[in-house]
Amino acid sequence: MTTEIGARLRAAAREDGLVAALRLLNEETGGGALAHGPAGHAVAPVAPAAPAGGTATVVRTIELHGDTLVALRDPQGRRARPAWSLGLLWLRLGLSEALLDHCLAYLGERTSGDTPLLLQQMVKGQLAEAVTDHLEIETLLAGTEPDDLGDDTAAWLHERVTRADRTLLRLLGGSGFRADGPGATADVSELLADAYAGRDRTEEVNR
Amino acid sequence: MIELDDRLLVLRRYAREWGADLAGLALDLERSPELVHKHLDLPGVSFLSRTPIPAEYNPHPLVLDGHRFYGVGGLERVTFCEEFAAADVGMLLAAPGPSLSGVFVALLGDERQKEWFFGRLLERPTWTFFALTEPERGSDAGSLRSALRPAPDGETLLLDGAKRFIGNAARADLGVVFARTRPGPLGVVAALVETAQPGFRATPFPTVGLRGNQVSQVTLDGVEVPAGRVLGRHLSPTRRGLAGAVRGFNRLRPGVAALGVGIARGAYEYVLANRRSLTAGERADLDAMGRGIEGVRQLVRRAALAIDHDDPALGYLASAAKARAARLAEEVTLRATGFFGAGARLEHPLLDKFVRDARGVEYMEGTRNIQRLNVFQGLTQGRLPRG
Ligand SMILES: Cc1cc2nc3c(=O)[nH]c(=O)nc-3n(C[C@H](O)[C@H](O)[C@H](O)COP(=O)(O)OP(=O)(O)OC[C@H]3O[C@@H](n4cnc5c(N)ncnc54)[C@H](O)[C@@H]3O)c2cc1C
Repeated sequence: MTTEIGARLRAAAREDGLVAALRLLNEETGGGALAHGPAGHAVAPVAPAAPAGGTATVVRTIELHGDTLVALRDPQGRRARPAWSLGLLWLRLGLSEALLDHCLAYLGERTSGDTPLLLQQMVKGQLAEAVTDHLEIETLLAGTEPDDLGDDTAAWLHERVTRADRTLLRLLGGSGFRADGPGATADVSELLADAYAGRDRTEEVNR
Repeated sequence: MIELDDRLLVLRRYAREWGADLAGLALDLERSPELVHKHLDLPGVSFLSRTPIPAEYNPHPLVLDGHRFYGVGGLERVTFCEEFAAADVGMLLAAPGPSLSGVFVALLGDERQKEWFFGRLLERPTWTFFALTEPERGSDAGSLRSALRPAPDGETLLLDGAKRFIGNAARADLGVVFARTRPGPLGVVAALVETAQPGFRATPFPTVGLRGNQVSQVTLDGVEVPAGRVLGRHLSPTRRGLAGAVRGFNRLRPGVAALGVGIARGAYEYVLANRRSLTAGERADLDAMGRGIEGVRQLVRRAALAIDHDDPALGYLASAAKARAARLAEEVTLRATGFFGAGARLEHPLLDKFVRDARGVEYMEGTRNIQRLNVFQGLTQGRLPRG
């Protein structure tokens, strides 16, 4: 992927949030059609017009900080293009970095006794782990062209982002569990990975 | 291995059956936590609404296959907590009953307080809350600021302050509030508070998971508390202050840890029930998950037995178990989604719920870091048994 689009998606996610960044991803790399994951799922901001045509069903409506997203399943939905899939990883990295920003602000203000939580050694170590995850993901993404990103590598990278997010969510304490805070964005970020990463295992499920 | 005796095997068998009723309601309850009011007659909810109540205060305990159950024992508690959480932790946390407050009243209350509190709970299903955490102070609970001071009439006390993340506070009639009468660790007290008193306000806020619990923001603005409602007035200040609170938390923690084990088990069993034709590799992964769950279950039972045996290592064992259970719940629920591939959470709402609920185990009754620090204390002070 041209690093330029990746950088824009990452910055949009970090500064403007998940929905704005997802719109940008669709505009820049969607090629005019809604991108679907391996098992036919899509997560999209609700468009003014009906989001999809005949074969799609809505599996969930997701409320996030005043915006609405829909999760769809469309067996005939067009698979995400490689540039879109790579862009999604940049987007989720940007969201994870925003979560780290939240943590730094929160932990800098909160204290244990008279000491900011930010200065507790365990907290320092956990923040260091998270930012190291970010560095690793960033380095891997920066060296990847869309057509080089295999499905398994993408799934692995998504899992890394989720792990970093989970470390950070723990550092936000209970406020990371509020649905009106950054913890909700992290959950929708996980749902994006859920829809777009991994294999289609529909046939392996008891129905 | 710590196994359950015949009596607890009976409880487990019933709790598993009751859990099956609850699982069917899990998603509806999550959408509208008020639904719990419609299900008060379900045996699982009815059991929770009457436990834990010590035998002296409960003339009509639940009798199952000839065994009496009060919900007070450590091993007893972790057994039903795991079963309910494997079905739906939401209903467990939404249910009326003495819950966390009951543990504190049993530990710190005097005769009259226990009669009053448990008597109220036996009259009809009644929700309680338990308020320690404050907006500015969560992990550092010892520096709480909510204040209990004498009213001008000299007869009663007035409670001022704010609490946050208080489960069930908006539907409760009464609960235990931690506040301070003066600076220092001995100045911390727990008081029984009625929510109908002027000045008490609880506002629920939305959470990512554990929605049945309806956690709330609480403001306390000159709430009247009769002097006789301060728990542990008959105890020495060292037994009722922060040290008393710590003893109470130590007794609660194994139950919270059991919730983590239950959530993990629920996700694991979901995979077993819904995936067909596992590959050898997947079977091995699943077996490893099962062993991980059993390992933490044993830690939780060990901590629970420490309650039953008045073991001085209880707090440390309970912290070890709780930290591991929080990790287990997150790990196992995330790994379980891998068995369903792309769209796992979107297509499997119950699994999705386990994933979100699992995140909440981290915070209840202290985060993993705080538990680890406590385990470290036990280790370096030689209070953690090491063979
Ligand atoms: C679903 C839910 C239900 C709850 N129910 C109740 C309830 O009924 N009653 C009640 O009173 N409370 C309740 N709580 C609150 C819960 O006990 C607190 O969220 C928890 O104690 C953590 O406090 P905090 O959220 O303020 O996090 P903080 O204390 O702000 O912690 C932020 C981060 O800093 C870390 N940290 C803090 N101090 C240290 C240290 N010294 N060293 C290393 N790391 C540290 C923590 O581990 C965490 O990762 C509930 C919370 C949730 C999410």
